Amino acid sequence: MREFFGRDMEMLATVLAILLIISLGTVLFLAFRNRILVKLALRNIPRRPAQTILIVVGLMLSTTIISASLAIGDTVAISIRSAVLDALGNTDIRIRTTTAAVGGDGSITDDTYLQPEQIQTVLDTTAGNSNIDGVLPQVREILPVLDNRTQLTEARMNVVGFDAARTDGFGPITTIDGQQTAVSDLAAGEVFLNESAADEIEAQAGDSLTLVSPSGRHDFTLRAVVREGGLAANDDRLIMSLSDMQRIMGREGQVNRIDVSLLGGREGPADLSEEVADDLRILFTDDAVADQLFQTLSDPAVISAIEQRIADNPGNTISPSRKTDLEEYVSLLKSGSSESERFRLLTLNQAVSGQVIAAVESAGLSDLVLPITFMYFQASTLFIDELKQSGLEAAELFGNLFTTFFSIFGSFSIIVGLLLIFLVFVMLAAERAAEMGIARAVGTKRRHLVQMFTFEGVAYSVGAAIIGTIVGIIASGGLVALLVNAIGAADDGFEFKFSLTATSLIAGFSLGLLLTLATVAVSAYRVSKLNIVVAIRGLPPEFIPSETVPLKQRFQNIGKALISPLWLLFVLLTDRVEDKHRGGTIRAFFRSFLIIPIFWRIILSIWQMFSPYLNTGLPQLVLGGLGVAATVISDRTDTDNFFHTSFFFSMSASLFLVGVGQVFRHQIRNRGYRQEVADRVGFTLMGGLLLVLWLLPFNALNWLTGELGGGIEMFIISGVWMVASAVWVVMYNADLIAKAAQGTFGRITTLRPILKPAIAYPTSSRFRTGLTVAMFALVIFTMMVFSILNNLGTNILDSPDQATGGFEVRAETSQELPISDITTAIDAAPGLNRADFPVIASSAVVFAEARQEGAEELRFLSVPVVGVDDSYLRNARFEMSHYDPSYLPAGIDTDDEVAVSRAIWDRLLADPTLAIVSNSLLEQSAGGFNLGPSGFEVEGIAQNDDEEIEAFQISIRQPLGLGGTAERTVIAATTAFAGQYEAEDGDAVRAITMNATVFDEISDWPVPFTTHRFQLADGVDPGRITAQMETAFLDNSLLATDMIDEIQDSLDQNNAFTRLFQAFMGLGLVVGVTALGVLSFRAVVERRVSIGMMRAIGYKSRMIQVQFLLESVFVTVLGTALGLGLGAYLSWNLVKDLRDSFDGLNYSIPWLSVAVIVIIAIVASLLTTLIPARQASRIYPSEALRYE
Amino acid sequence: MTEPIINAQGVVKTYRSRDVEVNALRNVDFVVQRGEMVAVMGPSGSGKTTLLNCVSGLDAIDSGDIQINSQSLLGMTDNELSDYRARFMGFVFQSFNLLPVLSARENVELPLVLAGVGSSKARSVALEKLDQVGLADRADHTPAELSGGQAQRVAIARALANEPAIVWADEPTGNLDSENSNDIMNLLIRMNKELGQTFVIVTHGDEVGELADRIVGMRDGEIESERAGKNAGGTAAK
Repeated sequence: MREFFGRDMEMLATVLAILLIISLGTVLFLAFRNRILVKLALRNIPRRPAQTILIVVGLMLSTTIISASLAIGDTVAISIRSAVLDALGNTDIRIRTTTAAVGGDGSITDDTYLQPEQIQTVLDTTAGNSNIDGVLPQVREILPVLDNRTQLTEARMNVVGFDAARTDGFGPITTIDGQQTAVSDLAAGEVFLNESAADEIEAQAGDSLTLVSPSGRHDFTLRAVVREGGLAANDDRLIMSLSDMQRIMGREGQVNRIDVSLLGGREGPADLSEEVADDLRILFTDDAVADQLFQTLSDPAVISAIEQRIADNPGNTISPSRKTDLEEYVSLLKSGSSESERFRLLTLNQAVSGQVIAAVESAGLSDLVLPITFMYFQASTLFIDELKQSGLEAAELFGNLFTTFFSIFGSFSIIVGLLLIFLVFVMLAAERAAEMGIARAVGTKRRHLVQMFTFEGVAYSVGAAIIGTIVGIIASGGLVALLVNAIGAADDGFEFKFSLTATSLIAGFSLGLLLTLATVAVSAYRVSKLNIVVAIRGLPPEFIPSETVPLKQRFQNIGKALISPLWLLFVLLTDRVEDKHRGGTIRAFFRSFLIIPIFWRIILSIWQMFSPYLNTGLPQLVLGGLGVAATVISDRTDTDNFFHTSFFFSMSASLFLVGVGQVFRHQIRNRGYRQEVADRVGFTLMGGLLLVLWLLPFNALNWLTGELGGGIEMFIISGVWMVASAVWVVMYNADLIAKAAQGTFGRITTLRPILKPAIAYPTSSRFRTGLTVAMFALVIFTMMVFSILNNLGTNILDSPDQATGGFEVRAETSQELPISDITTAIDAAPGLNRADFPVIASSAVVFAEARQEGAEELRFLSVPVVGVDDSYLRNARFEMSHYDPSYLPAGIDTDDEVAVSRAIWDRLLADPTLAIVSNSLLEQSAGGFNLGPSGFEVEGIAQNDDEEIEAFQISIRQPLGLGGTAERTVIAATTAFAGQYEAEDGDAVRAITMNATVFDEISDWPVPFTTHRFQLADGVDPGRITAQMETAFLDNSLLATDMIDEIQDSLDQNNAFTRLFQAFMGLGLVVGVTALGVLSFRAVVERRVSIGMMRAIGYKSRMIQVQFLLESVFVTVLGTALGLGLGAYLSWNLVKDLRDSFDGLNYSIPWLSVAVIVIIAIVASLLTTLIPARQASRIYPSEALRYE
Repeated sequence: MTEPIINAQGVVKTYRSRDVEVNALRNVDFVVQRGEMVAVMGPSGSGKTTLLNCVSGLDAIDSGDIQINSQSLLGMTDNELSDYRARFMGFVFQSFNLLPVLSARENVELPLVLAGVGSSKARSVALEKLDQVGLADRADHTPAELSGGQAQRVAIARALANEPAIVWADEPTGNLDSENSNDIMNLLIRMNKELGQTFVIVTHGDEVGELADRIVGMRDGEIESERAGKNAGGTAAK
């Protein structure tokens, strides 16, 4: 399900569209009733084309940004979706052995092949299911392939053998010439290659191919190259008959997966998947085991243990939906039977079984733990994987993530865009002030002015939303093109294809237009509050006396507003009767849209009731104080408590501080000081306090509140508050800046006469200038934070050992074809020189389970265990982020991270019972995303804790308690860089590392080393040597990686992504620049006479032009400086927070990007101001003065 | 008789907007002696403001010649004209035209700063001028905080700040009540007498005009009459 900020997209689109229709309907209705007002309103549009264009550009930007982020989300979701569909073809469900299910592909604890009788059972049981249109037994392995003609190899080919007789329902195979073919067309010893595999080894039909399997080398003939998709999937794939495949793997009669195709073909009806999968799950439940399990679990002691666990809910591991499942399970155990379908399904639900085992364990029924674990394991005979369904869900998830990411960062620009809309309309109002004042004087009502303004605004908005959506789509198309460039050639058959759904289109357009309309309505209201006399005489708006409606009248207003819905009802009812003959129903329908202005009126009257008291500051002070108190006394353990979130606390605290400032302002005013003084002191105090609050390090107030819950939204909110309060302070003290500027540049004689007005104008209209400065500051702020955060990762190449462990080359072999002794093998390999590899270290990964001693979590949870050889321990240079100092040699300098890390590795070498965990297994810092799989996690140590920790014990065993259990002491955690760039098996990033002797304890079989790392001799070219290694060890399917190259690639992609993102943020800069343009155009009109006067007393035309440009520069520089400063500070805070988990993170400001951003901002604003500035300078003095 | 400070001969100015032509000035000769205070009067649309704009160099003319201090304005570029205005002319307008964002003192400083006078000197001169017009105590107020009469005095202080040879005033009392009008006119006359500067005042108020040395009457773009004002025989060099 596609989501936007956690809301269902289709629902959202529908609701937004309806709201939009209602709003536009209301406007249309009002327009219909007041056609003369519409005429008056619309006639303004063509009056000043340049200004109209600017307005439309300004209004469209929010829509553009929303549409662009939705389109990017669509692109990602649909690209992944089509990759999933390409990879799976008609396969919906995959049936594997249960061990494969537990251990993943890396499992070596049991056979992953199904026996002939199991296969037969599957075929028999599925035969009667009418939802299934195909069942295909197959063998898939990763094997090396050599083309004997081109002598090119592919170390990791997906080799699949299909049962030729059962490919019905899985779609045809098509050769690249367009011929239909089938697996049954393959003669013995013939294979197909799909296009991408053929490209890898430049194979053509007729080539002789050599495959290497555990049983040796086998020669095949390439019958044809086939198109990708369907059975030919989209990876590098070689297809042969099942019998050939079974022969070369030595697996006669066996398969390792059975694919099931449901009705509906490739896109298949999604709703069938779960139903069929559940049917199959029940069918493949072992009756005897289920019955035995039922008997064991229905023991009252076990039932009460489960009930106890539900009640305790330790560590909040039982979500509400799991709780329901568990309660149902308990009631089934009390009254049901082992044959009930629900019992079986719940038994197979790993969340349920995990909780049951944990409950039994924590209740002290230790002799029951292993038997129950085994029964759960044996209850299902086969694992049913809803492959397509989960793949498609992942596609949606990633699409949503991208949309969220872009909208979150884009929301700064959206906010800026809305500010611009507001500014535009305030400007328009100022321009028409006299005209509107006269209109009011001759009897126009206030609401007519609001309506007139709204009509004009709606006209602009609708046009802008249409253009904005189109521009958004074009922009996202461009961004996707950049992204494709960034990711490079399609890997693994994955490709970004630009896509956009109608839902997103509607949602983007509606949301953009609604936001614009709302802003227009607010602006229109503000505009209408003009004082007639002030408007006609053109006095500055500061001189509008604030009118306080008497209390009595305010009460009356509320009363009237509340009665008006009844009036509407009355009108509707009577209307209907009277107008029956003249389409009265339609009119009544439109009239019902009046509900919106009525609703608005109620809100407004309530606001008016209380607004006079806001000036005293007391309501804010009290409300804010109550909020803060609510946080402090709220239950700290309850994670769902709204009062205990960062959001609630910081908003309350801010409100409190706003109150403090207002109280001061009010009191100062009451003591008889001038309003100006009161404003300045009050607002400076308010802004300053708020700034301090929001600038505090993230956890600075934890002593007061405890740890608060909060997510990524806090980033947006704190950014906005920081910028707003900083701008507030600056605008109320702008004269100081003006003095400073004059003191600095005033010495230049030619600048002096210009400088004074150039600074005086922007500083005197606080509202406009503040808004524009805030726009620039917000945009620059985001770009700054992003640049700095992005710069963090790039430092890794200065000390690559942290990521590579000092091993320049990393090589992996397949599980089935390991190299038993890599050193001897290199000695023996032709073309490889042992002297090129001064250090060789080996390791293996087993997907095991671990449990921390003394932790709340009692279950064993899955985690990869990396066993390494002595050479690895002697030579690894991965560094530690956390360590137990008692394991360090006496007198070691703990500031020397390299020495500390070395000492830890040496301890592991000396004592095989010690272990190290990956940083990512530690608890996440508050507020972080946790997208990782739910598996083993260390309790009690967080990623951002101090370096020094206390060692702790863990138990490690194979899944489901097979084999023995090993006890280990964890003495350190690696930095997050360790293993971060090992793309091939990302699991090692979240692993426990220890001496390989652990495998003797937990595995009944020997575990061969499959990963080998190498330090290279000086002067050895890693690129050349990896190629030579892959050739030499073709029979082992060895894949060698140049680690530095890998890191560089990853950083390049990252940088490309950053640039893409900065381009996206650049849209925000466009908003700021447009705002300056609007301001300048307006200033030219507004100050015509002043300009004429200045020209008259001797200002040259060039001086006027420079003065206008200087004003823009002043605003831009102010905004940019604020944004840079705040951005740098916030990032510093973030980095400080992150530094504990990423040792060696350097906070550095990327001066080059900063310079580029600043230069672009200033040049762009100069360019937009240039046209109005030239207009101003061309004003002929006598012309201008004639306007007097 | 010395050379006149303003000597405009055969000035023609026509405004064109779309199809309509307005002959704002038809062949006007206008001569002012150094130190003279001249009032230009006439009904609305008679061309008095146009005359002032053209002769002061704010507007271009179609034909004729204008000499100020025996120097023709016709050959000057826009920049030269600006410089010339900055050094030799001061302006007072009907609606004061002070920069609203600057204080009274800063407004008076503008022409000084423009002429390159140092900041402290500019400040003291501005204060001195404000003192002369009786507004020393209002130096730090912004125009919005001043009454109309006060604002016009600031404008006069600004016009006189550079001690220009000629002060042009376009309806200086047009926005003021009669009491303030009198004050302003008296101020102008006092300045004219004390400083010996030339004043050209456009006005349609009879009582205002009567205070000048000479009254030039205009109608339909032509000078219709010329006579001495009550103030005749003042400082003007005969």
